Amino acid sequence: MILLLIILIPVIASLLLPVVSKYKGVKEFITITASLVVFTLSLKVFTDGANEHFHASWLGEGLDFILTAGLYNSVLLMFGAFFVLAAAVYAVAFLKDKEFSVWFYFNLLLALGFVSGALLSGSLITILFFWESLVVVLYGFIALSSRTSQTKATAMKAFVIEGVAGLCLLLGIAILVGTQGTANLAILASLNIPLQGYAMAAFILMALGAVAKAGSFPFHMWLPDAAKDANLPFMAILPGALDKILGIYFLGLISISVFDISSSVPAQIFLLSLGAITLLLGDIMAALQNDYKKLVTYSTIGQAGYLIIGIGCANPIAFAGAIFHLINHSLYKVCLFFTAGNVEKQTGTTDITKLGGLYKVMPATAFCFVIASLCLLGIVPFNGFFSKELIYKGVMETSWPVIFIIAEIASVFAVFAFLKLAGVFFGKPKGNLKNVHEAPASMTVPAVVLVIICLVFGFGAYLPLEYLVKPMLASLGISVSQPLDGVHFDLTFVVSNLIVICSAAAFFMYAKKKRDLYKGAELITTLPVFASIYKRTERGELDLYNGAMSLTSMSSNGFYIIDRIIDFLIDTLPTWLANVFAGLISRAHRGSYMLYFGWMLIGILSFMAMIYYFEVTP
Amino acid sequence: MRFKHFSMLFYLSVSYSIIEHMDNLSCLWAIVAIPLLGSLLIPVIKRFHSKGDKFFALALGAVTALLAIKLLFLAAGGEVGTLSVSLPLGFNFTLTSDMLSVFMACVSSTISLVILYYSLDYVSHYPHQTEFFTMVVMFLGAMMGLVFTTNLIWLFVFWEITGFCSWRLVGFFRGDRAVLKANKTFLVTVFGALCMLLGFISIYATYGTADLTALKGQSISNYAAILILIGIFTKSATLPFSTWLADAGVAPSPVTALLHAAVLVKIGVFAYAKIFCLSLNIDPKLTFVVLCITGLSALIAGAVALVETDIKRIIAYSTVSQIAFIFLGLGTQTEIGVAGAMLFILMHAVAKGGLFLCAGIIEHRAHTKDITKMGGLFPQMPLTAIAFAFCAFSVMGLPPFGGFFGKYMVLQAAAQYASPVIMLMYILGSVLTILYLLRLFYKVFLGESSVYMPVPEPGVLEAPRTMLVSVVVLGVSSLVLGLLVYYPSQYLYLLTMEMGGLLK
Repeated sequence: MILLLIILIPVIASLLLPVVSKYKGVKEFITITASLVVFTLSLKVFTDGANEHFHASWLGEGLDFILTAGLYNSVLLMFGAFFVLAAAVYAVAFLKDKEFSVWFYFNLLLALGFVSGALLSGSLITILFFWESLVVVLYGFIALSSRTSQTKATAMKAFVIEGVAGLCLLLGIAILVGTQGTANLAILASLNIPLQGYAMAAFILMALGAVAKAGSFPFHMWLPDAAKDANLPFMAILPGALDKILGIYFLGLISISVFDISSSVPAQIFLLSLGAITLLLGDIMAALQNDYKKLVTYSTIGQAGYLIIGIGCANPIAFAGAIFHLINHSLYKVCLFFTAGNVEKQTGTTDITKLGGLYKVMPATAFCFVIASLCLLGIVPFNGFFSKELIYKGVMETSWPVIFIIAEIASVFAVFAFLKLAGVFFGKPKGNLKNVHEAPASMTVPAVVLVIICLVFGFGAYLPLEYLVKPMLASLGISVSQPLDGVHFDLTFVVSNLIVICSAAAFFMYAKKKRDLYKGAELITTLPVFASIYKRTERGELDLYNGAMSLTSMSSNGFYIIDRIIDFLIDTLPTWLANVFAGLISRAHRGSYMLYFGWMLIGILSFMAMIYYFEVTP
Repeated sequence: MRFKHFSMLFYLSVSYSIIEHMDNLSCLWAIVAIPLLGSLLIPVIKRFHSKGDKFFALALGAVTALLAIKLLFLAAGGEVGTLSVSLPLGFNFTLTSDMLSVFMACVSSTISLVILYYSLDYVSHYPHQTEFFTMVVMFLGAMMGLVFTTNLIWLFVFWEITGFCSWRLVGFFRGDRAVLKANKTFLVTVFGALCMLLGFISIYATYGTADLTALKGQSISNYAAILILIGIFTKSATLPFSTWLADAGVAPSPVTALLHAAVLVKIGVFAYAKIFCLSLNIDPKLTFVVLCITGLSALIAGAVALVETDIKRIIAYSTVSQIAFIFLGLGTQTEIGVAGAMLFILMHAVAKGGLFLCAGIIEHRAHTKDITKMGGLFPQMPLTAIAFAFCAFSVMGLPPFGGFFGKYMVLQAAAQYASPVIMLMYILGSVLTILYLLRLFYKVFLGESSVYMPVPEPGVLEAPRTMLVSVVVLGVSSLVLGLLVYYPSQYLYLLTMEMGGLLK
């Protein structure tokens, strides 16, 4: 019952919002209270040992409505609710005088309800139901950010991409459920379905759907546009946290519990290559950006790559790393988005080239930015280091250590991206900073709280690994023998740190030469290849979505012609033939007696011929 | 107005109390006879009371819907009634209220009722109103007869009555173009129906009976099956007989909603379910061909909907592409596929009816059907826009709206039994569905505004009352049916159980 409450409370609260939007402060109060209640309930589910079930018959045999809380999902649910709470608190000041703010809270609560539902689902059809419902919310989130038609176009793009991803998911689930006869995850897990034939197709489709929702290549195209057009708290909460949590949760579920990808090399290669491409692409694009929000968004895409790699390695240690990294990433990425929001709110711009020296006027934001970036770059005692190291170790255990090299190349770009971003706070001051002040407490406090949790998870990495990650793995039937935390001076450690130090050094040297911190990134961004990539992306030429759209419209025009031809064949042609025929007949009936007499003669003769033919010849 | 509402309520409660005490067979009689014969009285009543025709038509629609609901509860309780009048030459008039027929009757009569209610305001400024209401109610009666009869010959008779009514209704506006397109509608469907009749005659010649109950489990020759399929395809607007549906968009919006979205195009798929899923055995090779054709239909119609710029043509092509999904479910001949197809018939009827009715409101306000000349209408008509969005989401198959469940169940059945190529066509068709509906919504309600339309003053409704109420009812139903999907799906589960051994 408590599980049903976790889903229903935010949904019902969201429906209340439009009614009470007249009264000042009520919508914020309801949103924060509802997310707090959900957080508390999920905490309770977790502390009670995560042993709750809800089962009701729904669509017929094998398609029941099932909710189950296990450790694996209840921990993630707890974090998800916590991020929603943080975003709700943050949005109070951020959206204070923006229009449509009530719809932001409305969508936020609906998203919380649907994400909770998807995380708690004990059946594939329930997951699909809640997850796909999120697409409508996503459209609402973006379309109701502002009045411009650009926003609406971005919303449409996001909707189409997520809708197609949803169809992949739907098809995968349909194939699996169709062949196995049940959507119940517990039963599916007990079947030990071998990963081949139809099962393989189902896995690939579901995995594609899951990574697409997590914002991976090639389904990431709407994210940078949304970063520009949508409200910042939306970016923080959905692409920053909930999308990833849900996508990676589901990917983990199907790779470990429903199927076992450790016995299937193609499945591993599929995930690893997808992860590697996403990682490289996201980080390169991040380094090329000149906009705070877009840079952070591209980095989000890149980080999804780590998570996919962590699962694709198909060994316990990498999986532990993926889960830990999922939590860590959400923590520091939401925090980074919040710092972007602070800068946007206080200075009115997020253009890196126009910002500098903000650390003096916005010290708390700058502090949060520094810590969160250090976490992201995986510097030794911060939380990102521990989770990344686990993933690296996992990669080294597989037969494709080349993934590690790709990850290291990507991290060079990540270093450049975030040092460039550091220019916003520590670069040369630009413009008049006298009127710029620190963001209000309701915006800095959520960021600081997230940073504190990051620090705890870094310096005390033992705690989350022992009390969250290990039990989560155990609930999926995976036990890890070796200790997960601690610093090991092995190859991956040395290489990854050396790379960070070297690229940082290169960055600073170049920045010194150029006399401004953010220009250090020009070391790579002015390279001809990258410069042209950046330009062409900005013009939308490398956008797969645009390509697919023009392909669709071309083929649609082709089909349109086919349709017209068919119409000609069933409408115009028969009409024409009938007219011609009727014309001929009518021409033969002009009222001339001679003509009629002639017809009669011909008729009589042909009758006689017929009678002769039938009566005489046999 | 208030008195009118009161008298309607009084009348409804009286008829409800009568219907409540009727048994299965008298319900069956009544549900066919009341609208069919009652429609003939509409012009008579017009003589005595200037507005009587409208309200009498609405009352007939309401009674039909009540009877259908009553039959639904009876059928869910396991009561199957059969009523038979012996006539010579295979003309035995039989009506059977099995679960499939009752479901279909319920869907079509309730949607028709909403559409009749919408029409009260819509047609109020046009001539030939009496004919309009007569034809709509007669259509409804013929539909009921078609749904309940198990005799193929009578199926054909009712089939042709619906064709005749649709001919008059499509030609409601008497312009040259409207009459031309009405003729096209009539000729294409009559061509199909005559082919179908040949098929029926061939069945009668082979088995000596045209009764579907007696024919249960018999196999049918490919020749007869193809002839019947031609009839089904013309009525359900499937490739290559699909273009009349879009052309029939010259009709008034409630007509397009009734004929081309909610009820008439479902006749074909329903006949397919009744003939090939419930009774006769069709050659699996032919099923494969059917799935290929409908798959192409889904793909081509979806693509055309993306190119067209006339709002009603887009929605009409969307109907063509969605009908294909129903065929896909039925073609798999599995329990889940048939249940999904029937569920999608329900959801699609509600949602597509809603879309056409919204299009009617938009056309009323914008005085154009060209979507390139619209844009930014959201502030002018927020309720219509939201109803439109709900219906569109349902057609796209997004949860929590109703269409999702139908589409999912159909695709699950197809994933198991259809070949990957067919699946691919349908998946592309679904992608196109998302694209063209989103494009339509964007162009009409969002986007750059290009026609000037004043925002209605506070207190003034964005559309005449009955029109607005109807679209909101259909929009909300799309959502509510999704949330309460347990009840229809449970019914359909029983239905597929009843169909028994014929399904996989």
